[in-house]
Amino acid sequence: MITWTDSGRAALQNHNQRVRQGLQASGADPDEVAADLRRHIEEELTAAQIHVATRDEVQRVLGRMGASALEPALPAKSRSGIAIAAAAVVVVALAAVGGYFYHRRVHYDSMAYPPQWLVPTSQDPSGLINPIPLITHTPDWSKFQPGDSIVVSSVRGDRMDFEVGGRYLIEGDYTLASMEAAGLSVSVTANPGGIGGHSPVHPEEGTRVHRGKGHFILIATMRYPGSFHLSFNPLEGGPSRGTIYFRRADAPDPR
Amino acid sequence: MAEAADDPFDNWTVQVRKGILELCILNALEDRERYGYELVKTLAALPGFGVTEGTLYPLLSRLRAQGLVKTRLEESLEGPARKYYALTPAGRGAVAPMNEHLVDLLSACRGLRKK
Repeated sequence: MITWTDSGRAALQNHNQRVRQGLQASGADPDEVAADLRRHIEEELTAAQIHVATRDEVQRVLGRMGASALEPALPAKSRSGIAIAAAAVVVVALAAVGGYFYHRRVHYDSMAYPPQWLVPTSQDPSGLINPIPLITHTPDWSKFQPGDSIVVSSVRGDRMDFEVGGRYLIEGDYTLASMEAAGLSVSVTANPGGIGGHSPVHPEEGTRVHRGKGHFILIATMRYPGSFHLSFNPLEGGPSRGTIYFRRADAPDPR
Repeated sequence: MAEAADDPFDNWTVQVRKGILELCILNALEDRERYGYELVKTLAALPGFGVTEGTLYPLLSRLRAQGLVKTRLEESLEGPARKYYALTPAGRGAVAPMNEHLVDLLSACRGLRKK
């Protein structure tokens, strides 16, 4: 039996209010999804032998679950059994933000989270619940090595846009074929003419990955105006081996 | 050739798996009803799909609204009431043609390679 604190209940209600409009547009029943999320949270806490749903616990579970969102439902006439065709076209804009990257070795405590959730232990995903539509781009000067890739599947922030001071939970999948292991890190390249340059990788903004495929979640803070990017970094140091930039889908090209 | 996130292949896989996910749910329910929490965990762990648990509840709700799945609640001594999902007659009737359609599409697509 889970006891909900007022702040825990408020955290879930706040989340539900944020996603309600999107759920309605997608054809889902927001009230049903809200009840499902509550039930899921209680299941998670029960499994962890936690008996009180506090604000922090609720936000931690919601952060792990990912955004409760779907794309808008297609008009009924256009549905035809299986929807194998593309649901939307992702517009990839050209953006070339030059520069170099600081490299830092990063570590994470694999005991605190299951391997598939590579969230550094000192990071708290609380409040990172606003899904941000993205455009991604890999500049020519930092192409990935053959067989390597980083795919950003979602970014959720404590706000609706990329802003200085904002915290963001970045989730995706990687394939590492060119090295036995590498650092996978997120950092910011300052906008042209802006202050900041290239942010060093804070220990909480990266993780170590190994050859093969995997899922990652990183949490990063935007410390000055610029463009977030994810990179593979050789553990022995040196330039990054492939970089992907991302920005809000409707944001202007910063070049 | 390097594979980057803006590679057409990556964009394509994202779109394809979105479309197939609904069929995965129906397939998972074809032989028996499933406890929602278990179903969501199973689907979220599907290799290559990269789907989050938070995305699945809205999808299940939409399938219920479309009349393809139905739900029931059952009290549990171990935790919250369990929500079970099962196919409706309409959902059951859709599974086979959807799978066949998928096979047909793949077959047609592959067939072009022989030319």
